[in-house]
Amino acid sequence: MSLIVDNVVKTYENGLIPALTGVSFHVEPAEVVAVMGPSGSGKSTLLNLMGTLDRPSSGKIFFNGKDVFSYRPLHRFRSRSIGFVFQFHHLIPSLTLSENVEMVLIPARVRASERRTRALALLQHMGLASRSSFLPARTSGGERQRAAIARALIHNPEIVLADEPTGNLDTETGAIVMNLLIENCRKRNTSVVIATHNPEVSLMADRRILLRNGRLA
Amino acid sequence: MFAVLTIALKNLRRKKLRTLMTVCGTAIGLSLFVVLMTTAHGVTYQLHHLIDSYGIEIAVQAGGAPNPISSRIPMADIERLATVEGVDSASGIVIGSKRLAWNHYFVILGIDAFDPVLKRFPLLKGRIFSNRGGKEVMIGSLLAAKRSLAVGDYLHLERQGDFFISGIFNAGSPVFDGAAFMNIAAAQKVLQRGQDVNLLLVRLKTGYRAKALIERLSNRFPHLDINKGFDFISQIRVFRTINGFAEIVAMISLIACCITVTNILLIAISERTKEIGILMTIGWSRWRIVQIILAESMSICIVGSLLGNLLGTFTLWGINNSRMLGIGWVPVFPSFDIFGLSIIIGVIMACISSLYPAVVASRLLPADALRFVT
Repeated sequence: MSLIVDNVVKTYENGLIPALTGVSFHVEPAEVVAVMGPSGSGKSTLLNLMGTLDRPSSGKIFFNGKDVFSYRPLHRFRSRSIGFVFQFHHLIPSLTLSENVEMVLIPARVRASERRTRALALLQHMGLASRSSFLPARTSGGERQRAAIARALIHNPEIVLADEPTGNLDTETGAIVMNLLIENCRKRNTSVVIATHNPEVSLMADRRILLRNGRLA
Repeated sequence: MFAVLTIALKNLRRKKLRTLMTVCGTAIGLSLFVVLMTTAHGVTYQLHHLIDSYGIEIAVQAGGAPNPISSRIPMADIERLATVEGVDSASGIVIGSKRLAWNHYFVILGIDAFDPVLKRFPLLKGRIFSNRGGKEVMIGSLLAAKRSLAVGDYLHLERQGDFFISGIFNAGSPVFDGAAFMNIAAAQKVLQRGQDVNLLLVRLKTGYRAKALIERLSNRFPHLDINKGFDFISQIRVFRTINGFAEIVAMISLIACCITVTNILLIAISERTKEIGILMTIGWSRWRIVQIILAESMSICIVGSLLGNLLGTFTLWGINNSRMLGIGWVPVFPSFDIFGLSIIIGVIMACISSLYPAVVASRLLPADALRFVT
């Protein structure tokens, strides 16, 4: 997998609010990249653009040499190639941890029994075997975030985009969660881009990129 | 599809009270539809069925009369009409309702005891009433059951006195099975019709066509309203008005249901915008998200339709047992047609109600949906 961000600009409110200004960088296969910067520097916007959740105002993003927005349909591209981890776990509250993880495999038309087996195996690997049938509300913050990591990895994506994955956790739990994420991605040769303002998290990455006021510093 | 349905049902379970109230609202709207349509079409259908199955080819009422009860035809017209070429027989019928303490719309029919129409009302017990002046009646099985009457008992018609029950019949139509039949003279007296009848039923001689004969009779009797037997009920203005009114009210109640369901779905989408964003992020297509909304809407409307039928049946039962409306005017159960129609309407309502919410949900951009703060 190779990902190239080429001179990407993103503005809001008809160009009045610049979020990213001419950002260019690349991510190598199986590389862990930390995008650092203070709040409002454009980290989340950059990850949203890389994950095709939003479109850049100008510039291009190439995934394996092809413009990401030329993949059709985009939801299939996301369901096959990208895993997302957010600051606030973003699990669906009415579904159990196991069902939340399985959700990703539904668009890929994986059979229900296989979905369940794969989800349970991954949750077990994340140390959540006993919590798989729990609703998110009945689990701790760390457990939810581990389930969110399982959801990001279950379909074996080529890249995981993690937006402040430890931002809502205490230092100890945050370290456990980061270790799990990076360790699992390395095992699978999955690239990771982590947006964080936590220097300790960035130390676990192979490479660091600093964003300030929407520009690479 | 199963996964979509599971999510939809889980979503509905999250707000149990809201879902229950929406289902109840839909059920009430659909029960109104069921009751109105059953009531309006039930009587028309019963009369249609009777006229059709009893081989009445031509039905005649006074011109301009809005319904058979207000129609008045002089007895002399029966004899004149019977002499027209092509007419095999013409019989007069006196029909009306009497306000009694236990039934405000008690149906009384006056007919000749030898009229062939009576053969279509099979006697369960006893005999046909006498034509010779006496106070005798033949009552329907429904009336007999409701009032615990048997052959040999007397039917009390208040100021008109007691009528000897000569027989009990079963027509298979609640309107007639809740009624009493007597001879024409007695009915004219009870219903204060003087020497008039309300309706004439005409049978044709073999080889004559109803359409041509209706034309001939209409020219000869311009003061009469002459129709084919089967079309007759549809031509009665009061039935047309009742049916039209019932359909309009039912339609309004269904529109109100659609608006309620749409509103609830929009609220649900607003509350779950972030979840929709998550599903889009993990690769769910817009169509699959629309399917969840459609499944929620379908679940509400179909359960609402089933409950509506149940509630409607209960209401019909209540109306049937109320003396305000009288025995047999309203069918006790909705017909299979109306049950089926109400389910189809439930499905259509679900589609219409989810249309706008589906557009709203499918237009969401994943990044905007994830940023959404309620």
